[in-house]
Amino acid sequence: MSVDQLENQNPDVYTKLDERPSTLEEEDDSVVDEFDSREIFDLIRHINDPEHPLTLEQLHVVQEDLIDIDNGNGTVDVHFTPTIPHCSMATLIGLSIRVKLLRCLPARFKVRVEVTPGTHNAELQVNKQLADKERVAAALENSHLIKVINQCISFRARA
Amino acid sequence: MEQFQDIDDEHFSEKCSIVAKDIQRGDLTVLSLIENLGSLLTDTSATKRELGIAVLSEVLNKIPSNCLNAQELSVISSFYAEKLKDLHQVVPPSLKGILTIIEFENFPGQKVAVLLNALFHNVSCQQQQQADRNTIYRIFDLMSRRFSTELISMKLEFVYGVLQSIDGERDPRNLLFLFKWLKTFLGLVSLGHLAEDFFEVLACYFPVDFRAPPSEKGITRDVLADALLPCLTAVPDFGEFCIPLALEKLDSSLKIAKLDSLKLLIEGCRTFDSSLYLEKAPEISSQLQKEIFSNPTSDIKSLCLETMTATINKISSQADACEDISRNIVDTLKANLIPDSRFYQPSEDILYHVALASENSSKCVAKEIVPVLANMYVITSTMDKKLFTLRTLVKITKAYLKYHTSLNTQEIPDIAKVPILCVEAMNSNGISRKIGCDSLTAMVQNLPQEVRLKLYQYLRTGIHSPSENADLKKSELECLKNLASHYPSEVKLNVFEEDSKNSSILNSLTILVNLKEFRDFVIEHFINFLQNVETIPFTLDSMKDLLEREQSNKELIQAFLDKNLLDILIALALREDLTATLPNVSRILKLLIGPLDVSLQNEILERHLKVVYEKSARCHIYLIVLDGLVSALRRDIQVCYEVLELALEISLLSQDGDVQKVAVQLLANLINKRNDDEVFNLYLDEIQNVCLTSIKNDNLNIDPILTMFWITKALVMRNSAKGILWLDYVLKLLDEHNEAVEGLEIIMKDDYESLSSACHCNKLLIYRQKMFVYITNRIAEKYSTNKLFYSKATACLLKHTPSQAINMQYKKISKLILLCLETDEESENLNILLKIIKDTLLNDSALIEDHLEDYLTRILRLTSFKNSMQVRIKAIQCLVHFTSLFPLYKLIPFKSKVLQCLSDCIDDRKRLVRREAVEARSLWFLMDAPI
Repeated sequence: MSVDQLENQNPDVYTKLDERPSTLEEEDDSVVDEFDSREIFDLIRHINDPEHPLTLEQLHVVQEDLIDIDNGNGTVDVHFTPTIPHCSMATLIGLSIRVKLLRCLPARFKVRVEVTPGTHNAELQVNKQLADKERVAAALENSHLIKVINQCISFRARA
Repeated sequence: MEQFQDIDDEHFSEKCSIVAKDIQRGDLTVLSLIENLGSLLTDTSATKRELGIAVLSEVLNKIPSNCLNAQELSVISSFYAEKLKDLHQVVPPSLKGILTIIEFENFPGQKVAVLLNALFHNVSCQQQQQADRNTIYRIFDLMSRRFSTELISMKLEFVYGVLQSIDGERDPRNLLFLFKWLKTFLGLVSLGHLAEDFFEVLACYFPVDFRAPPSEKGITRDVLADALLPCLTAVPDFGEFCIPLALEKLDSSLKIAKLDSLKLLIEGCRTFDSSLYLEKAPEISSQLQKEIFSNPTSDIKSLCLETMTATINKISSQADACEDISRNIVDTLKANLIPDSRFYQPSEDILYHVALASENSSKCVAKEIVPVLANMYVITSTMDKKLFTLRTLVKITKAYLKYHTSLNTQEIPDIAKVPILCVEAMNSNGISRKIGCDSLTAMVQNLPQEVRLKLYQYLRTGIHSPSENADLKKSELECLKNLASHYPSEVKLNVFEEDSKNSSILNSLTILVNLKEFRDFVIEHFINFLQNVETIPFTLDSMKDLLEREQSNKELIQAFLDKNLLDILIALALREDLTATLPNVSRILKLLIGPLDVSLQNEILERHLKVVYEKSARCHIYLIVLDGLVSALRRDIQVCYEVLELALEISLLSQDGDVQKVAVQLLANLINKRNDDEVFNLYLDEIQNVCLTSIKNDNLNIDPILTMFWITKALVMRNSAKGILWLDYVLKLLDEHNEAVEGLEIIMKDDYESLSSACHCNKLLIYRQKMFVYITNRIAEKYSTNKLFYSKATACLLKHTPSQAINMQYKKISKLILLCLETDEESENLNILLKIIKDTLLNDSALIEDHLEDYLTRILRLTSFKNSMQVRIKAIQCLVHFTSLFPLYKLIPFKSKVLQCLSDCIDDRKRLVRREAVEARSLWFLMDAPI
């Protein structure tokens, strides 16, 4: 990123959650594990922030209780919270979350990624951009943009 | 001499060797050589002179170092000294010559000064090339090793010369050499008024900032920095320049500068005068504190703390000053010791390390801090904050105890509270109990009696009740052990005095067994416990655990035997009402008998064998005792054939599965240890016949076949001639009796206790590798006839084969593995196969790379294997490894296929599978993505 000046120079850093412990039920082959919000959270918490060498989880951009999932209807709603209200990276972060979920969730889920209400100046615009399939697809064709997104969602070794 | 035309001649060195040999033989003298060279050496052309000197130097290099006498050497060295004044072109070969002649045994010491003066006055070292500079440094090095007295007598002249020569050296190779040499050099000479100049020359390299080119293996920044450090601290004279330098660089923002400065300060404590440190101590300590508070990286922080300890330790000889500094630090930091404070942890670290430094500082810190913290402990409300302060208290107290033999309550009245607070913490819940207990363990020697008594009481309830918290139990036992080693009689009286009988008291006792005062005490307890039917089972349990832990402790085993434990145990085992404890008794017998020597084992055998044998012949379950008695005997003792026959009979006929297993393993054990003679061979034939008849009689029972497998294993393990015959035979049997395929597992598995070296069995080192190769070759031959069976057989074989053997044989069995992957439907076998593929991927991926597509398609099939999630997980993990191990161009053709397949896996019904699938899919997506 060619950013001359960091927008948020001193973000608050939060501690990371531990790796999800596996339960006996999960080890049991006969039980069906439904998707839950923690699982979605685990998918997106390691995404890197475009500005800082930190993950979205550490910056509390994504939080487990801001994720809603409905297995029956096949919908996933993710709300993310930009660190500052005028963050210009909000769309990029939203796009990264979208792409990550697009690749890692089964196609039967309809994914909606939105800014947590009241946390960003241009909330409506960002939400509209992220919901527009055409625009998302076009953005992913942009070779520079996809590079940045890949950097954000590239895998880091699990602890 | 005309043959020497050119210094670049490829035969130059050879020609010199010929001349050198002539001199050695006496056909030619050095003098005549020089005469012959005369025209060359005095030629008007510098190139010719260079050639002449090169010849001379090279020849001198090739003759043995005792060939020349002092007079000759003296002349030659004068000549070289002259030549140094010649044109620059002539200097390099002259330097080589000098390096050569000073190595000669008879080299006269008085010439050293002449040579060096010529060198210093006529050759400007830094204008030479790297190799020639190196030669000069090697001359210095060699001279200081051989002619140190002459060099010392040159005094400052030599120092100045060296100073000028090395000033400005930039080549890392030369620098490394120099740094190593300078250590000895600085120890050799006194620098006088040149100390500061010399230090400046060295200090310009500090901190070493050098990025080694990737091709350079040997010399790195760290190597250079480590070499420079001892030079900077080599002499006390450097101290007054060195400490300010370190402090200045510590202030820099570079991490390596900070680390190197700290190391310099620590290292300096060894040589520099303590008054220097005393003068700078306030500055050092304040700068260190600043670093510790502002620096999150742990390596700088820990090095700072170490420096703090070293510095204060250095000035501790001046009691007043040391105390002043310590008090200063304590006063600044005291205010931070509030559990909520952000600075609590760093302040605690600093105080602890100050206290660690010396007697004075530890006293000073303890005196100031203990009352504050003790008070803090009382006034804080929540337990976890209390623990915080307690932990600090204990740390400071420990540091105090490092320099004081006891808790001096007159000096510091509050320090007596520390153990009391620990005891108080133990009355609370789990974690604080453990911390209290650990703290007391560390202070055991210094506990006042009333604390000890409370502690005994606590420990007694602790060890008499079974514990729910393993960590706490461990701390308690550790504490008990420490107490017992210092106050044995008190512990016996206060902790174990009651006559309660339960298992946890025995387990606590076993950890004391290695304390001299307690061994008999413990053994008596065990034997007492064996008197009572109710306590026997758990007593045997903990006795077994104890002996397994202390297998090599001969004294303990002897102590048990001295108390007639064997008789007691065997009498116990042969009772009718205790058959459930037989396996434990058997194990204990083996552990006791195994380490003894032959005569003692014989004695035991004579006393007990008859009774036990007769009992087990009548009632088969007692064979377990018999097994305990005979299977750990040494090879020199040959047990009579009746025992073998009984074991064979039981292994073929017994209905009780456990007893049958013991019998067959006992049989294998004895056969493995038998002497290889005529009788034995006949006996083996007889066994074979017996087994075959019983196979014929009862077609469904696979016990006889497995028995034969066991015997085969016993034979191949000792590399017996009969082994391979038996192996062929059982493999043939296997063709007809596919259900006995687990026999292959018996052959490959290595951790059977009955055939271990603790039982003195014969064991060929690589018998499993040998068997694996042999059997896989046979299976590979026959594979096509019965695919399903052989794929199962392959899996059975692979389960216990060491991975090295698999790797070596992999090419041969890869076809088998591929077919197994394709046809096998048993999750257990697939699991083993996938694990092996994973190991092979990591060890030697080329084996897989050659058949990438074959493996990939089969593994993809298994990512949706219905019956077992473990198989799915392992298959997906293999896909993950693929991305990192193989070149991109080989993987790209499969990318869309793999992603398609994984899109099903990320909707797997098991979460653990999904987790792996998500990882794999991301990696395959990003494999060739622009980043």
